[in-house]
Amino acid sequence: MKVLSNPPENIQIHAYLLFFVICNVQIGVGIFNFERYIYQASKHDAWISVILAALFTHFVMWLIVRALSRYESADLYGIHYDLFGKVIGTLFNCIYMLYYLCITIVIMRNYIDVIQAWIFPDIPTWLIVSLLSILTIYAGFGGIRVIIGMCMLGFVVILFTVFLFYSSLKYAIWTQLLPIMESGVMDIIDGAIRMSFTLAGFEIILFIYPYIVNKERTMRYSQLALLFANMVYLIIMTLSIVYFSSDQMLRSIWPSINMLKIVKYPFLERLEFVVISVWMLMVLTGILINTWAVTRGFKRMWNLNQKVMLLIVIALASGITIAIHGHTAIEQINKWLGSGNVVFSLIYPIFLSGIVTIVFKFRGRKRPDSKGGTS
Amino acid sequence: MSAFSEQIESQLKSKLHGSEGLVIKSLGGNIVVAFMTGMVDNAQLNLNLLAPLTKNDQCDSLETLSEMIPIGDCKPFDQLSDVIEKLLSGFALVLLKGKDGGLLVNLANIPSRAPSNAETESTIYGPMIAFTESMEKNIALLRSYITSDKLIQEEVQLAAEPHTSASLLYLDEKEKNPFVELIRKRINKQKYKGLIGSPLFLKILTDNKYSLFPEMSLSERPDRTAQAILEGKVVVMVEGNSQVIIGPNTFADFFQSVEDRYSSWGLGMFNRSLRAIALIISIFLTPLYVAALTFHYEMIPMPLLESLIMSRARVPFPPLMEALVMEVSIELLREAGARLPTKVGQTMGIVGGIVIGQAAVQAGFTSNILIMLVALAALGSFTTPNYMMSSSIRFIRFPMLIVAGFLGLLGITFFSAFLFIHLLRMTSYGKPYMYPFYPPNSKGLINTMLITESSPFQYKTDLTRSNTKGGKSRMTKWFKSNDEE
Repeated sequence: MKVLSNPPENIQIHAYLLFFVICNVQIGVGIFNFERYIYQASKHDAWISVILAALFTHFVMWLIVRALSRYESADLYGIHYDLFGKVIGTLFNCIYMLYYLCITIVIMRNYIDVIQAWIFPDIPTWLIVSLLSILTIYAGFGGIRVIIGMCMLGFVVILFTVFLFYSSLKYAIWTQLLPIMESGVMDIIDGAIRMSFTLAGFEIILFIYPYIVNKERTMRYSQLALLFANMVYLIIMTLSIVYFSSDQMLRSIWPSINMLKIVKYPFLERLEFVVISVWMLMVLTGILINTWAVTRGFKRMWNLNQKVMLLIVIALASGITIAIHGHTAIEQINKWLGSGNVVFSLIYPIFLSGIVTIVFKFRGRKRPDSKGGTS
Repeated sequence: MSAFSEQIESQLKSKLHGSEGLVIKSLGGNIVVAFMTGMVDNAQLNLNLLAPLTKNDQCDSLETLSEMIPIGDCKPFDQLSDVIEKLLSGFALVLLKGKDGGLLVNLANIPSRAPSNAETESTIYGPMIAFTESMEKNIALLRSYITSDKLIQEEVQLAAEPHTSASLLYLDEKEKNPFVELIRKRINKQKYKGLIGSPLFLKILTDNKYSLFPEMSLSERPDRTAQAILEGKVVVMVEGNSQVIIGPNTFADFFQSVEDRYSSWGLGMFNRSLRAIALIISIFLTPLYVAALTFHYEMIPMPLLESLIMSRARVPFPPLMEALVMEVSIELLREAGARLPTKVGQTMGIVGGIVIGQAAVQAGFTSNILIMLVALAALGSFTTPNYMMSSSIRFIRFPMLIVAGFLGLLGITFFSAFLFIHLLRMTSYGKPYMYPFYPPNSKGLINTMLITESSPFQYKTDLTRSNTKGGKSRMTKWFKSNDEE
């Protein structure tokens, strides 16, 4: 496998499309219930936790893009080969692919959980899994262009959903934000760490980077996307703090959905039904991007057909998703993956960018002509 | 009858496999004129061909013969077998004894009608004239709109049985038109049979024959066609068809009428948004009704729910069945109206619409509200200016209705997502179908949604520009990598 990856010109994308991709991986099914986890840790100062976590993601993104820009056009799979050699590189790549497979499963299962709790209590899991699989296969076969197109659509969905939260402003009690900094610093940091489950995903740029035509703009659009996603989280977090009382917040499993319940029009109410259904698009983009990253790994390392691998990956993910039963099991898995998120999407990229910096310093001193890291 | 004329007659007869209709006229033993009866203009034949030839039948070379005939389109030919097709399309052959070959004189008078008003794409402002079935006249009509040496007409050789003649029309510019080569390739990909009619022709040009939506549009309006050519698109004209094929097209193109540009920007924008709303209504209205009444009646506010329940109280069917029955009857009305002569069709529409609708409610077959929604949805689908597109939209309503009946809102989202993916995957001559929505282009979006007064005619769009390497165009190359034979 080559370290650098140069996708054909006709499927390359412009950097501004990255904005939609990162928005979509950042905002997923987690938006329905992230408030409670953070609120448990840092109470009504949860919004500070969100800001802290957001700033941290901006920092990590900066590191990632800087590390990527040292290579001409490489993705994480290639960088691993370059830094750690063939055996360890393959191992690391496989771990990442496994991680994305897990993310896919968790996204699917969480969404099905929401549907089973809110819309159709009796709907069999396999039915929704197969609906999602059909869409994933159909879009996945269309390639990265179609996936990014779906991300654009997802962005529109996010915008509309955020505007729906406007109704809860009427019932806001702003004094619930006071006093500021009542929780301890450790609690707030704990909340910020809990936020990471929701904020993970932006490291997908490690895989899309070779596809970007104007790579010098990557930093701008990826940071903008993060800013947008973080603002959405901050708005929803703040709104739920001022909307719910402390007890209500801790008791509700999906606070965001509860908030949408009060949206009312003369011809339509209970908009959460619409939002949960339409959120299928957001879940779909999440699954699409994650499965794409996995199949891309197969293609890069063993040159396997991405379409065939997509079928296998989807079959595997569907099978495991169907096998998970009950809300408590899902919560448990979410917790495990939450710690995985911190490692894979925050800590490891920092570590990686450190290694890249050191290696390039070393290489630069040794053979200044071989900039670009081709080996 | 001279021996020469008998020899020619037997030769031609054998070429025509004994078919009737061939007329052989011998002039003074040396000259023979052959033509198909009914396909030539008799007045011209007598006055301009036979009269001068009978006067001096003693001539010895084809050149002098050619000079004697006062007809412009008069070419020599070498082989009799080459011109059989010409003979069958209304040319007269003039043969001279002792020479190989002869003269080919255009006297064709294929029955055709005079140009009339556009019917399938009628507008209120702007030119009214429409194409006819004669390609010559159509090209002349188009040239009257674009009087420029840059308008290229290219006759394409089609490997079809029977032979169909077609022309490509496009603007010749500095950069090569990227679609012409593609069309030529597609036309010659295989030997087609029975390609009569431009809708059939359109099928061999499509990127994906399984797509739900039309990739190219058919138009009978010369002004629309001229506009498309100025935008850099390629027009395919097929002999014997009043509708030309315009491509590449985007999804948004199908919802634009030429009239939008003729009216003021505000009105144009209003009409376009109206069509967009109509599109959403016609696809989603009845499925939403079915979904809401089958699964999500919590979503309907009390006052509205009451009237809904009241109107549905006597209906014994589930909402899905009720809606399907109504949608099918509307489609039946439309199909019957399209098959019948106009006058009968109108009466039938009224009878069917009012009688069936009223009676169905009174018989407790459907609810009042559903009739209203179905009618609104049907109306919405008819606002689409392109008939092919509006048929597609009416068609996709049925699967949408069925998934809504089984899975409620979830089903509607599922099928919509499916449609979105389908649209995103579609290409027209290798160009993205959803442009300018995806890949997004702000200028294109503005031109699609609102027609600003400063740029009423955006000639070249990003869509039709060929993408050169490192070009400024934001649209990446979208030609399918594996498709291009």
